[in-house]
Amino acid sequence: MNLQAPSLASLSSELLVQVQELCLRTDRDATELSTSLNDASTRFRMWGFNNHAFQDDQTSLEYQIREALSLQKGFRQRLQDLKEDLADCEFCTGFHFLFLLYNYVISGRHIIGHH
Amino acid sequence: MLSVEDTLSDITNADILVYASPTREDGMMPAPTQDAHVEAFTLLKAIHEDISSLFKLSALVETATFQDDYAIASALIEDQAPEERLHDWIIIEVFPRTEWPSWLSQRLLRAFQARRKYLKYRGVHHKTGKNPSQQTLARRSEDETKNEVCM
Repeated sequence: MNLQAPSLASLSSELLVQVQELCLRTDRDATELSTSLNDASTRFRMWGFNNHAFQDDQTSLEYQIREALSLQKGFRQRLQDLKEDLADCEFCTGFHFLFLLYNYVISGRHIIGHH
Repeated sequence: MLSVEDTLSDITNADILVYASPTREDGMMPAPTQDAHVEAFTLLKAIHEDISSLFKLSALVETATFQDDYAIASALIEDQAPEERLHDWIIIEVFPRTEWPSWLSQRLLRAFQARRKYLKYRGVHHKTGKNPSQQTLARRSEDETKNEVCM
């Protein structure tokens, strides 16, 4: 095991915070995006709590797979992928809301124009 | 005095973009925001796929570390009771029926022995605390009981 790498528990907890913050940001607008993000957050929490991924003791996921290096690598890789996707999504949601705002303003102009 | 036609001819494409509302059908949305909209949904799909693969990997862990408590008990515990005595006790006292197919009585006997060993095994390891997850569960159930009493 690479001692420099963060533990699965700390990585999972960090991701949980990241996904919840992203949900909070998108919750202001009840869009398809925020619903889907909330679903993702719920699924990630379910995975983490059911598999003791957020724990750091002898009941933890990391302790269960301490002998299986390939599994550790697999989990770490997938968590890193999720972290990157969340970071990209965080960046994109800024533009997404700009897009929504743009549509909102334009549709407002339509209404004003018709009346 | 300016006519309507003169005014209209002065309007440039830039003015149209600024004042008129391009629709999705026209395909005139500014490219960066539309791309970001599509990309956000693509990324969300990727996020859901990442989480699904975490679930799949965890299922693999559960399969790999699955332990049959009955198998462990049968390997660790030696049942001292003679088989004949058990047989007599089950067939005559517990299930007093005259016609028993031999395969059924054998199967019943095996199941009975396995259950006896499992109960002995649980009895021996009840307070040794070798299984942390069981301890956690026990602690949780104790906490829940306390909470129920407090309420």
